[in-house]
Amino acid sequence: MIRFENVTMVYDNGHRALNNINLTIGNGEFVFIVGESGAGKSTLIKLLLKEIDPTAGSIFVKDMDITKMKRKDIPYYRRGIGVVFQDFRLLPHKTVYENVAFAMEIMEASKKEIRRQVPAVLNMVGLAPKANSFPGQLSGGEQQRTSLARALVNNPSILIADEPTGNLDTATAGEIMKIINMINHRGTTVLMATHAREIVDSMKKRVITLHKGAMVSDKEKGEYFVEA
Amino acid sequence: MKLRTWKRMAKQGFHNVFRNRIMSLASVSAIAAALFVLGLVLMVVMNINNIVASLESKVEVTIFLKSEAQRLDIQSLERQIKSWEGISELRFVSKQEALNTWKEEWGDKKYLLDGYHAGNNPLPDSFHIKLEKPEYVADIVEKANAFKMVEKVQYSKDVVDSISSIASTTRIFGLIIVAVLIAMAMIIIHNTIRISVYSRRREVNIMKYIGATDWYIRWPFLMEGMVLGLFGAVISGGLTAGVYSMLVSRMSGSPVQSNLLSLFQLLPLERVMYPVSALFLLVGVMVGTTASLLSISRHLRV
Repeated sequence: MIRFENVTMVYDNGHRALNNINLTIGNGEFVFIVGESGAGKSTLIKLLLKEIDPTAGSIFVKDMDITKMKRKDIPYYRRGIGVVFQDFRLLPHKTVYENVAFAMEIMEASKKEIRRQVPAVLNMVGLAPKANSFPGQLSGGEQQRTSLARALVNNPSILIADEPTGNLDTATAGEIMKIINMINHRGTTVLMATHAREIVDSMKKRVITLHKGAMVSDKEKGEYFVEA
Repeated sequence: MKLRTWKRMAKQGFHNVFRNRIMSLASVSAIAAALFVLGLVLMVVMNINNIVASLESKVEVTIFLKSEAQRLDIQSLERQIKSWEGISELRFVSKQEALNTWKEEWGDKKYLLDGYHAGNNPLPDSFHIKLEKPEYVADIVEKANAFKMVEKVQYSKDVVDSISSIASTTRIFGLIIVAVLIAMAMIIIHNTIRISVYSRRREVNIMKYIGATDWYIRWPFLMEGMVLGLFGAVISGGLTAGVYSMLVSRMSGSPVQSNLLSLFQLLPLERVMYPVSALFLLVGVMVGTTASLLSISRHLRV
């Protein structure tokens, strides 16, 4: 599903964010990417979203080398990937319903499809009663659930989550993790960057640890562990 | 793109205008203010040009004919003059008419001219020509002199020369001022819209992440810019028309008007407002649209 081959990323300012990463993630896997700030987690996610291109190496997603992808094809590539961020990134002037519907509108879905799909997804994340609220009127957990609903509404095969619980308290984070876990059980490959030790330790999933741009461990049913 | 997508983007564009009320208000007022200043200057320039044009049309050439000229020859000359380029008015004054006018002009001393009558009238027949532009003088003088029956061609060279130099100077200056103001209006409008777009760069960023194409993001902004430009143009058009019609009504009642005769007559409102509002719409909508387009581009590189 996702394959990094000898990927190295050196930013323009000379900072070596990732060094020779080799990594394969299979269909339907749930993978944590852990490491301290500056370990290279965000760079890895930016590469996957093709926000940046690696200095060297290839990245395959669904057997396609995205480093060779044309600029005009990027939007279509991103539609196959759901993304959620620590800061939610919702459109502030749109309601919960509209935020989720927007992700379908850009795919030129019909009103009928949108009317069928959006309430179903909102139901799944438990936000149906808040459909007409604006992001500013929601709690952090509700905002993250909205952003999850938006990521899911087009049935992506991959979900990328960058510190999705970073701004949430423990109880709310737990609810968000339940939803992400449920999404994974429906067959979506999940890649989640985090430094929330309790979450990683309790979920017993594959854990990839980055340290100063290098992959230092890759364990099935692993635990949070960072080399000093 | 599908029709429903176009509809959605248009709706989005209009919604944005109202959702970003403060920035929209700032953009519309900047557009309106810039265009209003442009409009006022344009009106001054148009009126000065009008005055200059009316001065130009006052340039006159008089062709005096020899006394032996025959009626038939005179008529054929009249037909020929009419066909020349640059003639706005042609009037034949017979020697008898000239004598009558002369006597009238002398008023209560006209008895001094009592000795003159049709039989010994010393005045020649003449053609009085008004020109469209002073530039035609030389040409017409040359053509007229070529006729045998023409005694003398008279015109005031100094007046003609100074009028034509004033005319070309004011036109060039007017054009430069208007061009500078159009450029300034464009820069002001562009900057305001750029700020408005900048304030929403995060939204643009989000849209990119969930897979919106560049054009899907651009179109609503473009339509928004068009609407802002349109509003600005309509407001400034109304303001300019109001100020101008006030001026026209003030001027028409004042004594200045009657003293200076028709020379300083303001152009009627319609004649000014047609070109001005056309320019407003063009500048407003064009700059609004292109400014949005240019401003958005720098935020699409994600």
